[in-house]
Amino acid sequence: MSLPNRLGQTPTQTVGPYFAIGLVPNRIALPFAPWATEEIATEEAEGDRVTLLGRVLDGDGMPVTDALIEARQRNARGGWDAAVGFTGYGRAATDEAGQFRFRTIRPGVARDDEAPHLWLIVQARGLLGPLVTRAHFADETERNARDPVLAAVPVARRATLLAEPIAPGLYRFDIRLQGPNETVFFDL
Amino acid sequence: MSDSRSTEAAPDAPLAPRDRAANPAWLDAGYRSTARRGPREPLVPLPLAASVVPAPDTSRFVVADIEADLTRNGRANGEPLGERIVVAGRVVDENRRPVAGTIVELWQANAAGRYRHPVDDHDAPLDPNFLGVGRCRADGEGRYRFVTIRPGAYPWRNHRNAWRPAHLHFALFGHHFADRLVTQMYFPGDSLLAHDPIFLSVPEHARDRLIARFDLDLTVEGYALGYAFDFVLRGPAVTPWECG
Repeated sequence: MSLPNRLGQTPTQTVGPYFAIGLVPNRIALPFAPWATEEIATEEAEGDRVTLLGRVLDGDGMPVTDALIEARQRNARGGWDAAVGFTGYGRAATDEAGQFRFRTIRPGVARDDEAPHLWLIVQARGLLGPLVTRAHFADETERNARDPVLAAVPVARRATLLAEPIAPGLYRFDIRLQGPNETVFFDL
Repeated sequence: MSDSRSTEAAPDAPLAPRDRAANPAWLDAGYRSTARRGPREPLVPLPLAASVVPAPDTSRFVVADIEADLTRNGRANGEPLGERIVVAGRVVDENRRPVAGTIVELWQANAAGRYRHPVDDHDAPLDPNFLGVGRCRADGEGRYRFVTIRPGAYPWRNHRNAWRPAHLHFALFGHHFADRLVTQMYFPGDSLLAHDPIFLSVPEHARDRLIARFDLDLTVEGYALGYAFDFVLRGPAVTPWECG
């Protein structure tokens, strides 16, 4: 299938239970500065402040307390570039309750047929590769209805990609790795 | 592709698919933790254009040289114990193009097989002079280089008498966000490889891609043994000659 001159892709392996050492050293008080944290945007950044809060759950509905979540989003103007107070990329690790959060701004969009969203990559012990998903805002009903990525998802499973507003500027987005209402993960 | 509101420097070509035939399955009978964590629904395919999400912009982040030397970056009162090694190679895509400037992140156990992490309760000593974390930025040709300590093997609770072979954990991005590679590098000739469900989760034909090669040219005389290891990321979905 691949061209003869192509190199074989390096396979993935699990991030394991000790990834905090390398990827979120601040989380375990290691004296090594991380280059990304759960703060995607500071107060200085342009845009409406939002916090995305969620839990990662396994097939038994039990919290996954050692998951790594990475987030990528557009800036307030719809571009991918970093700006003052804005990195566009966040990293969070789940806590003892399986909970994670990102402090950020509501992402901009680049096209009329796109709804604001955050791309998320989930990894953990017991996951042998990265799982890619996407958090949309449940209150963006009109834009969500026009979004081509949501449209690619079977209707019955679309709700797993909607972050629900629970307070002003606060959204809940749970990630179910397996079982009833398993979150949609993309082949990307 | 982008309108006037966007100043993105996005990679303009969609990403070639991940080679699923060379990667582990989500559910692996030998690796117990996959049973309740691996998704059971099939991954949902997307239009190719959806992959055009650039990797994080790291241009504002400065990586200091010492971060790539794990024998120095965690010193408290002396040198870490263990066998010094150099691990170096290139980050390229499957079309052999360098992935210049990407940040390569490394974490590992110490020489005794113990991680500096609160959940590691293995009865082996911590090393006060070793953190087990490193980072470097690939150069214009995609070359990277770390100096570190060869990690020890350690037991885990997956099955009776289970031991992980010595390994280094690596994480890096290609040009696209979805081109995320988190993997483990192993050492040639390790007898534990044949018994390790995590290594064996990779289809047999692709396993040697995770084993470093001993390289006398990378060895620093009188100081450290050298191992070569290249990372091969995904390429653009459409190759130039196919474009015409």
